[in-house]
Amino acid sequence: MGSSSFGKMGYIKINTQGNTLINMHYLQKIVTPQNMLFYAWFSAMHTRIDILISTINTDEDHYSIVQRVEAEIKRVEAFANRFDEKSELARLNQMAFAKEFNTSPELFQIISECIEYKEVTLGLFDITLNHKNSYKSSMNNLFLDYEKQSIRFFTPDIKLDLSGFIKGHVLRAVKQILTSEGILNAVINMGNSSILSLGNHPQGNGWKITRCEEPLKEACVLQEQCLTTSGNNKQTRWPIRNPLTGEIVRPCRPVSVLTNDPGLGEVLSTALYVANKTEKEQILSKTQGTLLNF
Amino acid sequence: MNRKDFIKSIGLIGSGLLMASSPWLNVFSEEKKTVGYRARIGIIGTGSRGQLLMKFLAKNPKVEIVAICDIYQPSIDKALRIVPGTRIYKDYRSLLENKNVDAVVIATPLDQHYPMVMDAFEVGKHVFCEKSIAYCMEDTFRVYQKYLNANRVFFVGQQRLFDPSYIKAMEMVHNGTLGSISALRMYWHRNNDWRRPIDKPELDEQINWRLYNAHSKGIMTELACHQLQIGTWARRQIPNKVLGHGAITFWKENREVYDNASLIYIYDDGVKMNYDSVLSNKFYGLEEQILCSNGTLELEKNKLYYEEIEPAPAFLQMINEAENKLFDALPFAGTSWVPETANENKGHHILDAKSNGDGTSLMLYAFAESVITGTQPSLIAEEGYYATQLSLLGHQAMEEGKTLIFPDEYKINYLNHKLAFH
Repeated sequence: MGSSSFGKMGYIKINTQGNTLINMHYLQKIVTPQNMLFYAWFSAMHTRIDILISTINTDEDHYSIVQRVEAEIKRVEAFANRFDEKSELARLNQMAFAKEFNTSPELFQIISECIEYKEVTLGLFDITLNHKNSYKSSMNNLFLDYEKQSIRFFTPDIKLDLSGFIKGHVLRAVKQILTSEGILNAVINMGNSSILSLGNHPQGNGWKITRCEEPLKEACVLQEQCLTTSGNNKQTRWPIRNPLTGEIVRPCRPVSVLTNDPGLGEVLSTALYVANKTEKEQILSKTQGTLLNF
Repeated sequence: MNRKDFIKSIGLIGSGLLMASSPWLNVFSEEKKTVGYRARIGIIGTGSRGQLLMKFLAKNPKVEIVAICDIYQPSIDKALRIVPGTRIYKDYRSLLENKNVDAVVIATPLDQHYPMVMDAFEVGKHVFCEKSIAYCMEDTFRVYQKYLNANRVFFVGQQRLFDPSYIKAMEMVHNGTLGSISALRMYWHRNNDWRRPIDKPELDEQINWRLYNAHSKGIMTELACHQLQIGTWARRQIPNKVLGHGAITFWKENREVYDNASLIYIYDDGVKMNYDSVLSNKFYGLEEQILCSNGTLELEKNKLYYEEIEPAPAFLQMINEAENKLFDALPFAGTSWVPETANENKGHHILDAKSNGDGTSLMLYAFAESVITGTQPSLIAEEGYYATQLSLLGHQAMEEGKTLIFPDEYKINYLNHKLAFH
């Protein structure tokens, strides 16, 4: 722990079985006699998570709050990361063709919600991967038993990938944690692409945010909203495919959407990135989201 | 660091997890009961390594060095300065006949280990044998079988097993603090030819035995053996495949063993342990690196590096400007941010204070305790066994220029070899 121009800063340490594990960095600064900013950042979901809390109570201990947030993010990551062979999602991917796979209520709810978004996004939001189907959607080869909460694949090569949705799911839970802890003003940033705001900046209404690359024409002010962005940058050149055609989408400017619900934000930004102009208009007419930077 | 500081530093007492990670440390649990008893030890081989071991043993009130054996008088003379008046032998078999010797410490050239260890067990002595156990895999296997049947204590000089920072690091590896092990990288670089001065040319092979194929497997049995054991300790798994290349490229005069070697040991799940040694450059020195998903260990340096992450510049800027009543936009939204690599990271100490020494003195304390109680500490023989076998298999892979699979006939009832054991 030490001090700098940022005020107090250091590590949040936790003890695990006698070992000190540094799991999070933080710094805090008293902005005015009535206001303090507390900023913590850590690594999860293969990205950086930033939590900025503005509070009028300088005595409040925020360490335990951000640790609750971190624990929740890592809990979700542990069951929904398809690359972790021990995760529930990876086991589902491995086994659901051979026999029906009984899921946890939470995973079932996530998958069923994602499937529901198929219609509203004209099939452009898709959680299936199937290279043997030329990367076209395999949603029709999924069977969900809502009574038993089980899932079955009708073809062997399907893999479910929740990376286009899971940050939204996490942000819903994070919002609940912060609210339950009495945090009224905060920004939570999951790797720049999924941003949730609560309340206000110490010096203004809402939180004014703009893009770091490919700037928006003007900054948007988030007021209890989410800003979600899809696309590639200089470091990430992941192929993004249109699930209707299986073709890689021609690189274009990232797409940012403003929504009240973080889950919807993930769905819309993903679908709108691959949608053409007409599809965009149709999708937006059916949902409560605002596309920025047309 | 003395024994008491060692126990204190690693929080040994009452630490069940630590004991699970390094179970041979239970050897210290009886030490109060052994006060007043003495382990009567004979030293076979009083060269430089033997003398170092004697210095440590001589400091232990529970040890009496009752005899020494060597064929080289200058070494005997130096040993007598450590334990004046002790009984001297020129033939190890005569020393083994001495009924006052409970245990032997063998620190002779590698090719002499096999008959000495076998004969020592045959007459009921406890054995501390310097690594590597033997000159070839078959002899090493026979030594291990002899140990199993002898019901005597058997230590191999893998002293890192008793180095506090290694013990602490392994506890963190095993309890998952650092995530899963992604890779292991071991190296030992020196810039000298290993040659020691000799009085007469005819003594060259006797003194500089490490340089000759008839007596040594060079880099693998003298250096790599220490480090390959770290892989088994960390992963609780034995690599079943190895390939590599060795050559003499710099020290070309009067040398038969390689002066550089590079090997890849491959575990069944695809994780690799890379090993390399160069004897004509010492810049990178000696290190064992364990690369885990949540951090990196550098054991020789006593350092631990978490996979740390930098703060977002936009957030720092915002915090800094907020007190000036600025309500500027935060320019950070965008597509998914992914971490950059190779950040500047000064790391943390595994233990606050790195121990003096490398565990040798504590290992010898442990040996004395075991000799007195007659109890073999868990896993210590098996860790030594596989350190030697992996070194020898690696050497064979380089000699044959082939990828070699660990032979079934040399597997013992340990870790992932249990199933193949017959």
